[in-house]
Formats: sequence, structure tokens, C-alpha cells
Amino acid sequence: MSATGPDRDGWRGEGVRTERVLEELDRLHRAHTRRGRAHALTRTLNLIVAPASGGADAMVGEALAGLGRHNPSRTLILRRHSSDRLDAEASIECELWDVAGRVGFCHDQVALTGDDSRLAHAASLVAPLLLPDLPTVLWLPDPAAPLPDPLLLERAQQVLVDSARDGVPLRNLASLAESTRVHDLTWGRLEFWRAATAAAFESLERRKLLPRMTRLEVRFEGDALTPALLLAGWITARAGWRPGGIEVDGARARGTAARPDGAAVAISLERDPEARGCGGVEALTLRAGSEEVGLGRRAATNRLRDLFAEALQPLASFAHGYAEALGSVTSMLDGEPSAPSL
Amino acid sequence: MSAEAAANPFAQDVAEPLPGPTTLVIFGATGDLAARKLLPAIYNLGLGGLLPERFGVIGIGRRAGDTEAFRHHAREAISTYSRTGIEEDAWRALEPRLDFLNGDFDDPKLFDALESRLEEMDDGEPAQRVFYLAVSSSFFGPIAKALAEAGLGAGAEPPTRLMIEKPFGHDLASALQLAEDVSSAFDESQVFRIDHYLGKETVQNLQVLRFANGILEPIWNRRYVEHVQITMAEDIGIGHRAGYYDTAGAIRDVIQNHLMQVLALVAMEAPVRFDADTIRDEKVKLLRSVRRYRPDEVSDYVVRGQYGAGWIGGEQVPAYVDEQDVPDDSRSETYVAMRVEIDNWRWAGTPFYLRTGKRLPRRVTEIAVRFRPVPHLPFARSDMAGAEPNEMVLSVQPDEGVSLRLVAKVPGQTMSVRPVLMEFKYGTSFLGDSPEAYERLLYDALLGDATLFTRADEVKAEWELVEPILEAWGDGPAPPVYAAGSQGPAEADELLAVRGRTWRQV
Repeated sequence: MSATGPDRDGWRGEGVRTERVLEELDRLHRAHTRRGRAHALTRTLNLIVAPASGGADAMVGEALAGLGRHNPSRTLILRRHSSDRLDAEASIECELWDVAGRVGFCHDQVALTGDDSRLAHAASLVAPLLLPDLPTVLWLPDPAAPLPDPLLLERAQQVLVDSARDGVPLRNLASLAESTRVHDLTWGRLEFWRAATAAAFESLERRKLLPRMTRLEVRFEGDALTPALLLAGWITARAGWRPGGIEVDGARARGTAARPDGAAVAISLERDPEARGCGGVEALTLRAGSEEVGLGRRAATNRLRDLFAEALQPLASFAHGYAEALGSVTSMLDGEPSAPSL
Repeated sequence: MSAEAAANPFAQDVAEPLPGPTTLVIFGATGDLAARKLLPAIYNLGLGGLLPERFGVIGIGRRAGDTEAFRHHAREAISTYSRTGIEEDAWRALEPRLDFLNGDFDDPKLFDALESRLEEMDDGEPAQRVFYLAVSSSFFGPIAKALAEAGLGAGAEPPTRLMIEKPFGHDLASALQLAEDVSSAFDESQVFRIDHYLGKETVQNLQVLRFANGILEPIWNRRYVEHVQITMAEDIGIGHRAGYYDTAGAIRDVIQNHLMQVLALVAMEAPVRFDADTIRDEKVKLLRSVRRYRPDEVSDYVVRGQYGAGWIGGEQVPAYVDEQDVPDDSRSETYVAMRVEIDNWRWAGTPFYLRTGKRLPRRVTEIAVRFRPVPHLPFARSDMAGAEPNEMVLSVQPDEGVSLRLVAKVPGQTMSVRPVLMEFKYGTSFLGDSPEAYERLLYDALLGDATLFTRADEVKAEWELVEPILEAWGDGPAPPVYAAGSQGPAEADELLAVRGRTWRQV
């Protein structure tokens, strides 16, 4: 018994109003039912996708391609064009079963394309299209880009970002995380490393090393400096170290933190050319003099679609420790690197 | 606070902790259960990053073979049965962790070899040992004893755990004997008895639904609930399980374990905490409140049946006695329906009906809670033909969810009514896939969390309820035959035919 795969119906209009979009969505659902395809509407959440730049568009497409399995109830994608009108594309996508009598699940997706003046009021554009009584998630595929309408943040209970993308300013995310719940895909990718670190320090012997730690090393793949920074920031925060400064130099970063007894902990983040990465991180080593706790990447994989579904869940546990990690990282980025030199 | 006593500061941000270093030993590693469930579960835990850094599997099988052959077998099993298929990267990480030992389970040399292999794998850093007995239950006692004699049972260092799966005995006496054999070798806290039904998301949700929703508790009792029907129906026959099934029958296969567990979860009192012993204490308390029938009362409360030939899904299917390897004169039941009375303040007078059967029209597992009718209908009787009492149905499979039947007015000039459904379906409300029951159970066992496992006293209480039934049937007539594809034997209808009760259609 299995799902037969997505079944899609769609409509496209130029120069439309939101009322028309709602009418068309209703028509699509009725037509689907009339063809004998019994379905239920998903009741999970509203997902608003903020306008993305050209580079982020492909990533949006890839992630949304998996939504049939994850079933957000309604996805509203905001796009920008230069014409003085609102264009819309509405579609319903259903996962149907190949077994008689089983009810399939459908969600719908609306892409709204407008010019800057319309997108400046994007919150008012999406408001009539949001399904009531469901949580709303705002996805910022391009967190470095300014939000066309800040009121969109007020519509959402949760903001989804991926800080591992180029040019995402962690300081901005830190201030965003102060006012709303931020689910950072990068933080989700680091889940394995957080669990592995916690597991490594379950033993009392290992915990005895913590007050004597002298060095924290993270090796990362490709351009995954941000995950490495976040992991180092999280360990710093949870170990009770005071962040010092950190100097980022292309493929590596070096900095310091201070243990509660005032002694310095050297922090070293280095690109590993051999790395294939898990969450962007290849290895983590904590040293206390000649003793060390080393953790390596294993088979853990965080495929974008699964992680995306996880990050969409309105679960507070997803972001546990994130604000603290960001706080440490931004303190380091704002601070002055000090001895010991690295 | 001293550094030694300080809690792990990193643990607070981890939703799914990693188990400690573990060596999992699977007895019966080349068997069906390992292929269909265990190996895919191990693989998927690895894929999800939920296995510890130091993790190894030692497969033990009676079939001749070596590690290389076992790895090949495991890959085939994962490719065929894993819900996620197989990813090369994840397989490459798991493959070198798979090891194999060949030997007879009653040969002491096997356990000497196992001990040596475990020490080799430890390489000076001891890992916890989890022994999964995916073998016939007749081996549970001997293997448990042999492990204990090898120093791997109670009090072992590094710690050990024993995982076993039903059947836990064939009757009360054998269940008690098994419990004794196991408890002489392992401490109860080390024993993880699997009832895979408890690993199902919807079964776990029973507790959340009941104890996290304030509107249900006030009406979840004899005052508002007229009766409850718990059904586990299957459209399939016995397949290739005749060897086991014909000696067990439906009462041992399903009622004594799965349905008794579901009954306990539906009817138990609220636990103070969601931890293993608190929940299991409540389940045992409930099972002990279930009225035990004397053998001479059994025919008033329990009905059995055996499927005959018939039609399912447009295809003709054979009678049970014509299935492969089933004796022509088999008296084993493939259907059981029983009325359960719970003698406590919450449920006295509200019957619970349990029903399971093979070759019924469709596969369905559900719990239907029928509420009492309103005391007075202020509408004309002629318009109220469709005014059925409210009913809440918790569907475990196939369409997992909850529905509540209400009565509503049919739009129009007259005050006609008909039932309508308010529905919640899992697939419409949650994102992503659920793990398989075995993944959850294995993960919990590696972490040492016994919440979803049955305790020895639960098993005993279940057998005590079933024993008089087995005794009554021992000398009784052969079960009545019901046609495959029908709703079961007609006698089952009579079980409910008081106050106009009827079974829900399967």
C-alpha cells in the first residue's frame, strides 16, 4: 500500500485580486472532488515564503518540491516583478493512495507576484489567504535581503532561515531571535553534533575535563564556517565560558573564550579539504592539555526536505540553545581576539 | 557544586539524546524478524544520527555463515524492507559495524565465543550490551540462563539488557516459568519485553489524547460512556505462520497481549508522571480490575470462530484448515470476541468489547467509544431517525486519526437529522514521516527507557485473564466457522445484542 504520488491541478491569472485567488482555489478543490478523488485538506500550518533573489530561487524550488510529503496546508510564495499588477498562480497538490477508500491529503500553494509597491504591503496581501486557526511560518530564503514588509513578521509565529547561506549576517539573526522564534536549518543540521557532544560528556570522567579545557577545534567542509561558528558558540555558552573575540580569515577563524576560572580557551575553526560534512561540520575536538574529547562525523545525514519538515514544526525544542549560541557567536565577532595566540 | 557532581551542561538542548556506547547482539540475526524489522530499524536509526559513536552489532545465527555473508544479508534486508530505502553513505557507515557468530543457542561454546567477541569489540572501553532474542520463545529461558552463566546477566559490568518479544509463554503456567527463568538470569529492570503495538504512534497518542485534553476526562467514565469496542481486524489469513499460529490461536496471538495493552491504555487512570514504572503501575492496576470469568462463565462472555472459505477483495480464499501446514482437524480459533467488565469506580457497568479476527473484510484497528444517548429528545420522533448516540473513534490503522460522530440537522424545511463526522487525521495534521514501531522501541531500549515495554506483572495479569478461557475451550467443541470476508461468527453478534448494541462494521 502506498501513495500514488502527487496529483496536481492549477490555475494562473494576471492582474488579479486576492478574492479571485480564493475562488480559484475553491474551484480546484471542487473539481478534484468531482473527479472522484476523495481528499482531506491538510491542517498543519500556513507557510509564507518571502521574496527570494535569483540565487535563492532554486533552493526554494527544491525545498518546495518535497512539500507534497510534508503537507503544509497553504503555502504562499511572494515573488517580485516590475509590472504594475498582481499575478497569481494557484495549485492544489494531493497525495493519493492506491487503495480504495483511503483518503488522500491535499494542500494548496499560491504564488503571488507583484511589484515593489505591492510587496511593501505584503502582509495585507497574504492576510485574506491565510487559513484561520493554524500557525503561520515565515520562511526567509534570503535572510540577508531586507523584508519587503516588516508586518509579515507580525503575521508569523515562527521564522525559518538558513544561516549557512552566503552572506547571512548572524548579528541580524541574533536580534531577530530576540523577538520571535527562529528556526534555523543550520541549527537543525547541527543536531547530531549537539547530541554527540552531550553523549560524550555523559560520563563523569569526561565532565571532569570541562573545567580544564584549553582548546576547542572544529573542522568544517567547504564554506560551512557559519555552522562551525554556531557549534563553537553553543559549546562556549553551555560550558559557561565567556566569549572573547574571534577573527575570521577566509577558510578559518581563530578566537578565544575564558573559562569561569579566567583561564583562556583557544578556539580554532578550520576548513577541511577532505570533508564531506555532516551539517557542514567534519570533526569536533575539545582538549584539556594532553587529554582530548574527539568527535567525528558518521553516517548521520540531514537531507534538506526532512530537515525542512522538522524546522516547520511549531516545536520549541527545535531552537533549544540557538539564542545562546548566537549570543556567544555575536559576542565573539564583536570582541577582540586575545591571548593565547593561535 | 563540584565539577564531579555537575550535570551535563550540553544535555539540555538535545531533544533526541544519543545512547551510550552499545553492542547489540541479535540472536536469530538471519531470521525473518531481523530481516523485516530489526536490521531496517538499526539502519534507520543510524541514518537519523541516533546511534552512538561506538556501536556494533553481533548477529548470531544457527545457519552457517560468516560476517561477510551476514553483511550481504543485512544489505538485502535493508534494501527490501527499510522505509527509507538504502543510502550508500549510511550503509557504508553501518556495514563495518556488523559482525557475525555462528552457533547453536544451546551450545556453551557459543557464549564463550560471544564473550570473547564482546571484549574484542570493547577494546578496553566497555560498551553496554543489549541482547535481542529474535528467536522462538522456547529459547528465551535457555539463552537468558546461558548469558547469565557467562557473566552477562544480572549485575553484569558493563550493564546488559535483554529484549524479548511475545509470545511470553503459551499459558499462565508457562508464562510464569518463563518469567522465573528470565528473572533468575536478569533483573526486571534489565528486561525489555516488546509488544510492538506500544511502539505505534497512534497507540502512544492514546495517552496524550486522554491526559492532555481536558474535555475528555470528565466524560471518560461509566456515567457518559455506554460501551467501548476495541477491534483489530485483518483481511489476511495466516500466511506462512501456521506452525506458530495453529498452536497459539487468536487469543494468544492478539487478545492476551496487543488488545489487553490497548484496553489498559484506554481505561487506566491518569499517571502522575510519564515514566516507565508510573505508567506500568496504572496499567497493572487496570488489568487487575478486569473481572476474571470462571471457566463455566466463559461461553457467556467470549466467542471464538475459525474462518472458512470465502471471498476477500473479489478473490476466493481458502478455509483456515486448507491453509498450508494447518491440520485438517485444527480447532484453533482465528476470531475472538469478548465482553470485558472492569470492576472499578470509573468503569463498573460499562462493558468493553474486544474483537480480533483474520479474513475479515478489511484491515482495521480502532477503538470506538460509544457515549450514552441524550436523556430526552425534544424533537418529533419521526424526524429523529438518524439521531445516533455520539461516538468517538480512535483509528490506529489504516487511516490514523480520531473522529467524533455528532448529530446535525439536514438543511431544509423539516427538522430531519443525520449523523455527521468531525474528523482529525494524522496525515493532515503532521509533517514528515513517523518512525517504524521497531525504531522507536529499539532506540528506547538503547537509552534504557522502559515506558513502552511490558513488565512481568503486566504479562502475568494478562495471562490470568486469558487462562480461564483457555481452560474452558480446552475440552469444548470446535469453534464455529465463519465465512472469510464476513463480519465473523453470528455468535459474536449475540454477545452485544443487549440494549440494541451492534458491532461496528469492519
